[in-house]
Amino acid sequence: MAGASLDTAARLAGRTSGDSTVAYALAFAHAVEAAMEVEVPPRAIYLRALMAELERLANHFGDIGAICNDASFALMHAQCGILREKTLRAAQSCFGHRLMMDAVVPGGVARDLGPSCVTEVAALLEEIRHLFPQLVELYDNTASLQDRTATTGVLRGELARQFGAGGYVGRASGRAFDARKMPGYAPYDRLDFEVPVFEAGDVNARVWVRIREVEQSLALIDQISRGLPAGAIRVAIDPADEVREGLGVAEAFRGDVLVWLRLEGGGVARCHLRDPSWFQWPLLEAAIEGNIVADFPLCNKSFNCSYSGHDL
Amino acid sequence: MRRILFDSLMRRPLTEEAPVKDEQMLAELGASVARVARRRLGRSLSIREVDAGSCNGCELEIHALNNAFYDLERFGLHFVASPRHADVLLVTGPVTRNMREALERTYNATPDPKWVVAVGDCAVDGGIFSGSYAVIGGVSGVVPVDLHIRGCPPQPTQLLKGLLTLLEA
Repeated sequence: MAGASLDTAARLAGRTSGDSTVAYALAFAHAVEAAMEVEVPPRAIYLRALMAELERLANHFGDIGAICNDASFALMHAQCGILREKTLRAAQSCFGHRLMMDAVVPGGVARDLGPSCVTEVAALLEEIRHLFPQLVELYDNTASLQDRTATTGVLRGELARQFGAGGYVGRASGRAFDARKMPGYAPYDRLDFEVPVFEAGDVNARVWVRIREVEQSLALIDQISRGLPAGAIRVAIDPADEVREGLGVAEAFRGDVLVWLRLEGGGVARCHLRDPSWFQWPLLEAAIEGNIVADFPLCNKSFNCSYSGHDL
Repeated sequence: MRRILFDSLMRRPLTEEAPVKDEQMLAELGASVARVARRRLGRSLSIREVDAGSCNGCELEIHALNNAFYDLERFGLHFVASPRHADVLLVTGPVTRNMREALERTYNATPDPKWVVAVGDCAVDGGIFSGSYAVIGGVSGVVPVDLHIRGCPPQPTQLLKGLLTLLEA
């Protein structure tokens, strides 16, 4: 990334970990905007949050299904796969890309919503609200599945705090950190949502954090759709010749993404992208200790650490 | 669970129509696929996915091929857990220095006749990552490639189209 133009660097940042492309592009944009002291238009801030929550929904659906699939519970996998696919299709129709790559750019967002998008998103939410509670009930009432997830792969809260683990890994072990609340960034300071925290630290708790976060994301998307301001979606950023540094953070579905960069001569001189997985991979080792081999896939999937985001 | 299963029985299937095969891809492929192999393997193909250094975006869409909407297995294509069981290697990502040997060994472990399908813009020539100190470049620089499916990442329908083209060739 050293020497890249802002545009290229933003595209690269969005490909650090493909599943968190919105979060990475957002953290990168936050860093550039901090360095250049730029104000982003309110509409862009809301659209960014809409994308971030759609990304969170899609990934949490995928994870909940995949964790159950590793306990050979294929029905949940198939049903969650349908919800994930529908979310991606809504993203495609609203933002022109299923994963919403390159939609968040420094200074704002690349594309505005089409006229039908608000109704489309509302329809998606309605479908999710109809199907998801049935799946949650199914998860909660299937003893053979609970038998696999409860008390499996326990991560002690003390270790989670020591490593500063974010996302569902931290929040399932009592660490309440969420970058949307602390340090916090717009528009979440104006939106009403809770950060679900569990204490058990097992696979089951990591599933429940995701379930509760799906519910929170649905409520957030409601608020974002209702409060979506009109106006511009992007301001031009003209990187000056002087040297500037910026730090940005964004809450991805798996935890906090941190970006530091130095701008110089109109482009990026140096940049570091820190994936949440850096603080989660080492903990997986601790969580699997004493578990049977057959439970490793469950532990691993419940952590779902990024390979590409970590091994840069 | 019974209610969900019952509802599924009563609903129309979500699965989409099979896409038509892509003529351009077919032309690229025509030269490299032998008819004999087609007769020997029949329609059923086993696919081994190899991530040679991708951002995992391509993997997400490859995973989507197994969901109810695309249902890859209805075409006799399925994913296997070892190159020893594979007819097709589906390779994603720019090939990184760290993954070069792994890719070569995977190729060598796959029994003949075999095909290599390079998935995504990065797999063509390194894409946005080309020029990085960690990246060698496209897949064809390391193992012979029979078919490229472009996109960043290619949508499941594009992947399906490419794989069906491979099957029909």
